[in-house]
Amino acid sequence: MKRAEQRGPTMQHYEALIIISSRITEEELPFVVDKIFGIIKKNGGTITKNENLGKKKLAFSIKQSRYGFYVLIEFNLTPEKYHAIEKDLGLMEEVIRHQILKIREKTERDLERERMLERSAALRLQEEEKKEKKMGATPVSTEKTEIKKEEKAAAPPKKKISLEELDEKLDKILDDDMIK
Amino acid sequence: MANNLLKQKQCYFCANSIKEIDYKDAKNLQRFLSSYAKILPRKKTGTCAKHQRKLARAVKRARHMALIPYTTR
Repeated sequence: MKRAEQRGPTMQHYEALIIISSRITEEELPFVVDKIFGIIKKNGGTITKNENLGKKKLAFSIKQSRYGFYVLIEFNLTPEKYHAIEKDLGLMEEVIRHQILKIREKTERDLERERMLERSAALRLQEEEKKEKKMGATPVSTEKTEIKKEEKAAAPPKKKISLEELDEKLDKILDDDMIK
Repeated sequence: MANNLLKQKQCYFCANSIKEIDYKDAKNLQRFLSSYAKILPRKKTGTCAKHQRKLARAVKRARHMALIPYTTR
């Protein structure tokens, strides 16, 4: 809420994903990004995040180019200026496609929550993979299975504890959100 | 793969408490697409109604940005 007050009630948070033609070389890319920044700043916007997602293969060719540089920019802007930016981006030759979306600005709490979710998801994946491996490996000799059993007994408790802890923390955060 | 999806009873997004579906995460969206890159029905993926709507929107946004194909040949 504090942030919203800071940027004024008329400002809206936007996220723009821009594909820049691969005809531009890697060295020229910063200049093109600067140009885009210029457009946003000219219209009174403030950039909050700039991320280069790198060169990617397009799912289909656009204007005869099969690859493109993906650039993600988050910025605050008064909604009246949105159309001006949209138009300017459309006129830029280097930009082969762009998409500007209104998004909710992430608060510290959101970021924290995301990190927790990622960690628990990673842990779960690990566990599933382990299970699959165990399921897949059919007992060839009795010795091997015995060893595996020992491993089973030794390994899971540690993992489970950490998962439970994570879940607890997650629940807490979720509860806080509900109360809020 | 398809069998696996059929078995799923709970919505993937609810289970992982994902509030907003990120259209930039093409890898994750791919699992809700058929081999012809069409959006799979809820019956097959087990997605809840709320998230299916959000998913459809995310897929369409991702398609526009050439992150996932509109169709495969």
